[in-house]
Amino acid sequence: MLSSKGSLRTRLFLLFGLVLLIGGTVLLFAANTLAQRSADQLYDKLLESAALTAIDNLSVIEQQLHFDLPYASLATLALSEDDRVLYSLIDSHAQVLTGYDFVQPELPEQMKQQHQQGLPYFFNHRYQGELFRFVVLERRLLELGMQDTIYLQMGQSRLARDQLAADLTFKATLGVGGLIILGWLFVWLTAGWSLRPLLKIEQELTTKQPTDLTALSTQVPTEAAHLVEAINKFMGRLQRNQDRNHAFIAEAAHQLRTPLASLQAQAELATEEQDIASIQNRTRRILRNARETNTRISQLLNYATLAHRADVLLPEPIVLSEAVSQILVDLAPIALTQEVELSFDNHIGDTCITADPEAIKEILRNLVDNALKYGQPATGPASINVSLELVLDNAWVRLQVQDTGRGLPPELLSQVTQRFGRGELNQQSGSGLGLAIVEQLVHGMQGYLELANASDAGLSARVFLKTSLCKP
Amino acid sequence: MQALNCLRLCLSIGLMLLSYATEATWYPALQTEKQQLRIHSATDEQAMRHALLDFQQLYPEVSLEYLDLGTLPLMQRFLADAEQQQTADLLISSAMDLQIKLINDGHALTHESEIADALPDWAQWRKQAFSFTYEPIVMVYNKRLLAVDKIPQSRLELISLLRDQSAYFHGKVGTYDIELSGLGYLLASQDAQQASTWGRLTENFSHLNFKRYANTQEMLDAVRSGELLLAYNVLGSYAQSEINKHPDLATIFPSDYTLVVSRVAFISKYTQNPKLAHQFMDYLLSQRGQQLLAEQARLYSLHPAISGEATYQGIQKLSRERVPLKVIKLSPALLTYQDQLKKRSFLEEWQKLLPPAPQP
Repeated sequence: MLSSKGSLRTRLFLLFGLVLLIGGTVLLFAANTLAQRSADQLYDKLLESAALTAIDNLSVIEQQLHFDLPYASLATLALSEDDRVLYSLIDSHAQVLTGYDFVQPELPEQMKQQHQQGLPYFFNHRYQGELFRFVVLERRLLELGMQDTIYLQMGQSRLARDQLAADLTFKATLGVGGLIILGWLFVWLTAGWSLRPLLKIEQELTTKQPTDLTALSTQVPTEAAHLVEAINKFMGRLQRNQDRNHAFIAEAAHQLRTPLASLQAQAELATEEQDIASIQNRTRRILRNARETNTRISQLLNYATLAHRADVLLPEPIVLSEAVSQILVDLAPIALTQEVELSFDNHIGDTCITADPEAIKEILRNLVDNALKYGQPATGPASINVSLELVLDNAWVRLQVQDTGRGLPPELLSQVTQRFGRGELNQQSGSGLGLAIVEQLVHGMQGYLELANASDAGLSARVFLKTSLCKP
Repeated sequence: MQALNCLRLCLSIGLMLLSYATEATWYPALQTEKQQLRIHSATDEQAMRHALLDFQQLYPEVSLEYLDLGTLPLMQRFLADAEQQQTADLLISSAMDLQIKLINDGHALTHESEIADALPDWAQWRKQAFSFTYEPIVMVYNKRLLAVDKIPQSRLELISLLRDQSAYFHGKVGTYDIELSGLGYLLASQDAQQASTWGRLTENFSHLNFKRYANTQEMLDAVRSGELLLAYNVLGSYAQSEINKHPDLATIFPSDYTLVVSRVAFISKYTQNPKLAHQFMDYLLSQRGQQLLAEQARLYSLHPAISGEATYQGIQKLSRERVPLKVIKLSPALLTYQDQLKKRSFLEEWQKLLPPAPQP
């Protein structure tokens, strides 16, 4: 069982829930503020209208101030059912003419400004332990014998306002809460729905036969297509690996059967020989055959290792010319002992390619080995030229190893890279696998190998690899 | 005028002092006393007696002190006591405006209970003031002295009757003295606010040299004795109990509109015994308490489930048949006529109706 890092659905659910909750909280906060403001605006209008009704009944009769508090005024305030009522009528000397104590406004300057513009002045104030909302109206009396400024203050406790604000907030809470729950539900269902293709993939994978490495056939949405593609590629690699292993085993069996049969025949013949000289002769043959078989086996194992490597290349950006010259420095002594001239022409400067450095080493070593072994001219001095060039609009690098041998007959050029397909002209032991390994590695790096007989003399092996950006 | 005002003031103070001297009635606990509840009320002790005794059946360890005062002295006493923070636990009065004023001034305790929640909106305010009766305001006359054809059914009829028969009615019409009775002032202000008939009616009263009374009982006594032919604005509940004793008396529910007042109770903020006060309030509003008030005290209980003549149901029936009701609602609008300037001018108008005081 794989360890799971929680369910995707739960993750989405929690994340979205968090977003909804935060959003909802902000929204509710705003709704509450708005509700309080609306409630205040509404009841302020009532308060103002009650005060206006009252101050309208202020009159001067025979130079006497008359105030007849109308029933409608307090009845208007009584619309906010359970709220206490305070009012007072004062003159400019703060003398209470009627009503309750005058509650001193907190900002008298602001009140003055409001009144200058003919506007009512509202304020909150705590009275007998209860918060009240007050309005103050101003009336200038400019009658004969009575010139004064009269203020009417009217106030009511805030029960109805707070109740209305709470009601509005509660309704908003219901709405927002409903939306959150709906949104949550939506995410839960959608997450389940959109994860269904993954379940289908899972189902197809579990029902597949272990030997069946064909691509998945499930139709999935774009987002999951990459996953399916990756799975298919992985299965493709598995398939190739498996095919190669099968081929290798078949090939190995085929390659080993002949020398072993020959060994057996020699050994049988040897047992029938009486003459010691003949026995020695047979034994020498057996020894030679055994050596050859041994070489063959180590080549096979070598190939198996490299072939495996082609599928597990670790590409990285490298400066190709540096890698090549490094390898040539290692090969130079061998060339020297065989009296072969090894030369290197770099025409690509510091161009980079994305490649596995070990693979590059293996490729170059095999090609140079090949040239050393088969590229000897019949007469004259032997030489090997390694060159790097940019081709195809600098998109590709061409690595060429050219010898001065006899080249290959055209009909063999294509066969030579096949496993053990050694060219007819070969006499020396050992290298049927070399070019096959090179081709395997080059393919692994999305490049290709080209073999051609040079016009003047020798074989020209060309490896094409894509250039890439160098990483700093 | 100044001297007249002074005289009235002195008179009212004197009457107030008289009321102060009234003895409270003590209801000792049925069992060992553990708690006391003090009720000050503008309701006849006789009317409340049954309810008080019944309450003690429920709470036998409670002693009750019941003090019956007029509506105005009741308020004066409460305000004086409130300064010492030692008032009665409950205050009951039919002067609804005065009760509202005391509550608006912050003297009441909030009472929350299921029973109180069942009350109609107009019968409670701030969960502090609670109406527990529903009493029509009627005219009372003496059947022996007033011929059937002279019985007025409305204020308009009363006005024309008084105008036409002014000699017959001279000195024989009475109503509340609104300077001495809080309820009288409330009724007068409601009449004044309600209809234009008030001015004409009082004008006629004035011409007839009408008599003024500080409470309903005095008015009823005067009608019974023949001193008055007709009393205007009488508490229907008291009138009904009087009629039961003296069948000569009869009531008129004015057909233009019949005022309905209620007795309002609130728990004082300064109560020493809030739990018991809440229990008594719940009792007053409960079906058991209301039933008793309706049957024994004929106090026109408010509870809609109780049937009978002196009940909410009974009045509603009457109203459906012929009389439009004008129910006085508990609301701060009642404070309007308690405004100092308004009250002063209203009383000044009233004083103009009175016969000039004898010159010294």
